[in-house]
Amino acid sequence: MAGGGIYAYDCTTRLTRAHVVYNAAGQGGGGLCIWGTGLCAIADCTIEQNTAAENGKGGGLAGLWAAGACNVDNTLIVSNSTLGQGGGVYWQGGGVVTMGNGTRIADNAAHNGTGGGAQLEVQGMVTLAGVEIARNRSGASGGGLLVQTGSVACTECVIADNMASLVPTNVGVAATSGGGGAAVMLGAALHARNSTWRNNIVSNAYGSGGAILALGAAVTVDSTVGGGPAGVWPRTRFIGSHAGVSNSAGGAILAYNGGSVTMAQALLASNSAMNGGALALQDVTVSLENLVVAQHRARNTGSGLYVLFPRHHVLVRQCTIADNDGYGGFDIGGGTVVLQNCTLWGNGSCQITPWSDTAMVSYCDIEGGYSGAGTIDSNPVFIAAAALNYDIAEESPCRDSGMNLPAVTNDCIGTPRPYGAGWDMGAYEFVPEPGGVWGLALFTIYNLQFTIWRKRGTQ
Amino acid sequence: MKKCVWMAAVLMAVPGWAGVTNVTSGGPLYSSLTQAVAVAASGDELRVSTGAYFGNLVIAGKHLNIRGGYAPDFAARVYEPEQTVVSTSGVAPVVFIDGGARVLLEAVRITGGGIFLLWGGGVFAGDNCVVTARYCQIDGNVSWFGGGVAAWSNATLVVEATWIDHNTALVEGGGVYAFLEGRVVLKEPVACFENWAPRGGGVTLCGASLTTHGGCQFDGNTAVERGGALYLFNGARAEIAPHARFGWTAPNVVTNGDGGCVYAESSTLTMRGDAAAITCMRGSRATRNGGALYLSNSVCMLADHIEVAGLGATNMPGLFGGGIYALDSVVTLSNHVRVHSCVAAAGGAIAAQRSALTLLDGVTIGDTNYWLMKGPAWPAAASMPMTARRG
Repeated sequence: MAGGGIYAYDCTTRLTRAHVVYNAAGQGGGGLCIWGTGLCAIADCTIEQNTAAENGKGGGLAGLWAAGACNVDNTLIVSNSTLGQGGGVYWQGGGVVTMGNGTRIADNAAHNGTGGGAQLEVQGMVTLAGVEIARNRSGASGGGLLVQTGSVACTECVIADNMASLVPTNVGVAATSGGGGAAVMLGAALHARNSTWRNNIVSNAYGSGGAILALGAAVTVDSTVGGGPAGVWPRTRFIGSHAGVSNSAGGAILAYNGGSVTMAQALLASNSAMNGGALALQDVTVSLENLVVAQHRARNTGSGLYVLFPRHHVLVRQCTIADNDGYGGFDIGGGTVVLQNCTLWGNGSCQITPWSDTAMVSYCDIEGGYSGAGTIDSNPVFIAAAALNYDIAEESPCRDSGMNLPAVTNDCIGTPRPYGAGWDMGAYEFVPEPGGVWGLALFTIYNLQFTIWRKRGTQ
Repeated sequence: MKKCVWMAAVLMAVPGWAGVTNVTSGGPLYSSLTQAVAVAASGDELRVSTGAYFGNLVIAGKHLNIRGGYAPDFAARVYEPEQTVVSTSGVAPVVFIDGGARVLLEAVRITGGGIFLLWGGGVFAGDNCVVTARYCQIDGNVSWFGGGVAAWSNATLVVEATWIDHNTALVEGGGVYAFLEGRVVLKEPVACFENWAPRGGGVTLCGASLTTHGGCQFDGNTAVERGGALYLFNGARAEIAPHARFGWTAPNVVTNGDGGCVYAESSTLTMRGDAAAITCMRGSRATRNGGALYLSNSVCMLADHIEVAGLGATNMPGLFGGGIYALDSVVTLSNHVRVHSCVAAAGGAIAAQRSALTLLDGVTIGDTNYWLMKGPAWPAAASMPMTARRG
């Protein structure tokens, strides 16, 4: 049955500074099970070392047929386990779930099932803000998080060191198994903003999507652009994740079987897989903008990006794809890819694989050259590529060499575009170091003028 | 003076000869406690020497202090209730108090009260009466309601340094039964143990109140249906103060029902502990819901270092709520309350339905389980010496 520690059925449940530890349930909610209507508010608590056995759901916390709102704040959900789904948290129902303010879901395990850290099957909205999902394990998909249904908004989160697909599988299910950080299933949606995905792994030989596996799902990844530049790197980062070794795809993200992937203002670096060291996108709708895709590895195709039979034109704008290893920057397997204002430089054997004849390239800087209006072949002069700083130097030929893209108003770290005579190529817009108060004032006046001009242009 | 010398001589000449003296109004030395009570005036103090007395004392409308444990010469005194035994051999209440009387029973054992009256096999306190039992033992009595003691409407029962044990109620309140607006006050040290009733093995409160002060224990009481130790209903209120212990030496049990320790229906239960000593409910068992507590349409507050825990065999209901089950209730646990080592099919520690459940400030829900899969060993509880119970 449910609720090893606490079972609340149609209740208002409030836990503040409570400790739920070492409880066990047979069905769901080793620590707590919230069932039916009523509110659930958990703040400043620790839920640890609880177990849902017998293929139960939610080792630490479970919501079953939960119709009320659940708010989890500054709570540790750690070291819980289940044989079934949702090692730390399993939430299913029609309510609204909010987790935030320092909540950590860590070191949980779904030994034979999905969602090592959490599994969400919510018809309503799930909001994760400032949540850390780390070191969780799953036997099947979704080492950190599995979104089965509904929509999950993830802001300022850290998803790190999770591992999926511990249970051996085979090539036949390779594409449906994985998601070291998160797996988002058919019809579900994930919107991750200003979040860090780091060192997530699909351990199974055939599993895919080191950070994210999206199966017919809508995945949106972006960063906020207000408030000035974020620093050297975009606020959203995918770093060091890895997918399988035999037939895997998407070191950072595998999107597959319909759905969409929309990414903007993000850094993808040092991820690896057999195909698509950073991204493997098959049969999905794709839009990529202001991305840095660098230093990835793939053993088969597309060390940087791998696109296969997309549903619509793949639109890639203002991206820097650089220093990915021997199998090239961009592998396009069918469909049409539109590249605008991009930089492809230093990618192993080729920048765009030779058989990718459907690429429509405009105003890009591509090492070795490529046909297309405004395309150049000049060293972009990155500031510190070894340190993952792919901002361009003042002398870069990419400065003001891009085409006008009025819809792109910021670069990957939030710097307004264009600065100077036009849009730069690549993910960064060059801005000189502020020369004291006068420099700052000039920059502000310039941007104000640009804004007025742009508004007039739209009238 | 001559009379006193004569009485002392007689008592000394007949070892064990029991007698009662009225130190307030004077009069003869009574061999019958019943007779001494009958002729006593309001406000009198009766001193009772050690020995056995036939009870069925009827005290109506007058204030008496009855103090037992005196030596035959009344010069010395012991506070051992078993030295002064009052009994009716099972045909009537031992002490029947009514008419607003105020009575002190001190250092006497009240036993063998029968079921002639529905209420109060050992002691019956009628409307508006105030009865204090101090250094007493109330045991082996039988009634329909309140095998040991019954406090009727607006009566006040103060129990101090007393045992209430091995009493039986055929309906409710094996040890104590308090009726509408009745008040039961237990003062350290009180032991209410091994009483039996279908509902409320230890104490039943029907619209009445219970207050404990200091180290009161409820051990080994048994109910068939509800509330092994306490059964509260009809607007009853129980305020359990720090150092109270339920199931310290033996678990309170419901053999075929809910609320192994406490069953509260439309009532209020407040229990507080402190960090200095253990305040707990341990080892309670019920076969259905609420191994320790069953709450229905009630308000329950457990606060300040209380422990609700299994004791080896664990709190072990058959269905929901190994520790606590709440239905349509308001339950608040705060400040280092621990609910642990319990077992249930669902809600190993707490199961709640249509209730408001609040856990605050260091509450721990731990080490609970479902069914009988686990059940961690709990160290055997140290027995509390009987002398300590007496103070």
